[in-house]
Amino acid sequence: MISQDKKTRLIYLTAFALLLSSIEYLIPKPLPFLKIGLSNLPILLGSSFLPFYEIIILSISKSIVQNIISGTIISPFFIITLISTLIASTTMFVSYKIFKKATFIGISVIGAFINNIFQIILSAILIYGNSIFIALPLILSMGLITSIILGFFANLLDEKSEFINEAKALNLQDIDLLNNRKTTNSKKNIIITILAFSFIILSIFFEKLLYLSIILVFSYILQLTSKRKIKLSYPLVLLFSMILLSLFDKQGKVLFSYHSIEVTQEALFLYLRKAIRILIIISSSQSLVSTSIFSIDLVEKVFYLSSRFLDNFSKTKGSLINRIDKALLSEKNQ
Amino acid sequence: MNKKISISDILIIIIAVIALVFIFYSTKTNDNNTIKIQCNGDEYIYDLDTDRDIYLQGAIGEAHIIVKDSKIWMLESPCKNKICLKMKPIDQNGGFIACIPNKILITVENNKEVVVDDISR
Repeated sequence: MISQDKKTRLIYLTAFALLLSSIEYLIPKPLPFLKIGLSNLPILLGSSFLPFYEIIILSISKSIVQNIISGTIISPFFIITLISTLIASTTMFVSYKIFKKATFIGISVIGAFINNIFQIILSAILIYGNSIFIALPLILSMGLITSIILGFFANLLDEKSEFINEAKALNLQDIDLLNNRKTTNSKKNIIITILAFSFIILSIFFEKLLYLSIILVFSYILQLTSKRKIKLSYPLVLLFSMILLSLFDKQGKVLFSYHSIEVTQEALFLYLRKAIRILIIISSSQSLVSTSIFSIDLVEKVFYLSSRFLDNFSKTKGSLINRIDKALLSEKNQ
Repeated sequence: MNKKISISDILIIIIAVIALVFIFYSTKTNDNNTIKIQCNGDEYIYDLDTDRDIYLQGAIGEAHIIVKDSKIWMLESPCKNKICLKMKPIDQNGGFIACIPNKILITVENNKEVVVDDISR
């Protein structure tokens, strides 16, 4: 099997990806779908020095850990992230071998392009339906710009970062997890797990908007009792974008029309149904994350490490690369 | 690895931009035909390329309309003379199906034709 050194390196790189996604979270964005994709940096850098199977493991662990944090591990979003990340990282690995003279800029552009295309295709199949393709040109052009910036950043990191050198040389220290596990109420966890799964299953069988809304209310109550915060911004953005998409997929009685904009009943109900189903699944998934069913040793190590990284990152000063480097190597120096 | 931007990078970016322009145009020129049905004062819109059965409540009863293989026709109607059932199925080339007793009018709207109509008016 995989050696301890390599395992440690993968844990570090996954925690690095988590640190980057928290940094990205701190950067204000005008629109919610504008992503820089900072968390793909470890895979981008890794495509130059990791063997193929480690790239695959890194892609899988990054997708799992990210979706546990966002609480979407039992949802279509996880499948979308996982498959598109796997395809993009495979493409980056291969293109690094083909374009020998390309730097990380070129590799990043290819990776982002493939990643975005597959994300749109998969989200059309699993969530939104074909009308999401109207957003494809916008998302791809945004992705092109951000991936070029990411590529420049990767070139800099590869040149200057001590952490990347240590990772290449397999020179990272294993982490000991102290017994700091929380005592969990197992009876409550079992009830939450059963309820959350039954909400997800019920949401598939019910068609009527009223019943679906009732299930949604119950899953939000469950989420509150399992002490996960409810964010209002996400459901509102989802509902808004679904209503917007329904305008491009006209079917049924015209409820309201203004110039060439026509709101049609069947399409509106269809997209509202999709939106509520997704909200039920996400909310139930949030409740599931609060139980201990995902606390595997490797995942715990990644969480522990990334919280240490973030802590150190916010304490240090200097240039971005310097701060990242110091944060990542802090475990070694202690 | 060469640390500064290389010719291959610029080549990849150019290819990506070309692909982007291509995708942009292929999603733009996607014109689909829509069915418009006027029924008893209400308007209904459907996509011609999606097969479906439509049941509409007209002035005297429920009509059953079929959309199949990009064609549309009336299958059942509560009217007495049943002229609407004998009308030829219509497709993207235009035409109409009407059932006057039940107050139903079915037309197909091609997005290209709409533009021509606007100019000729």
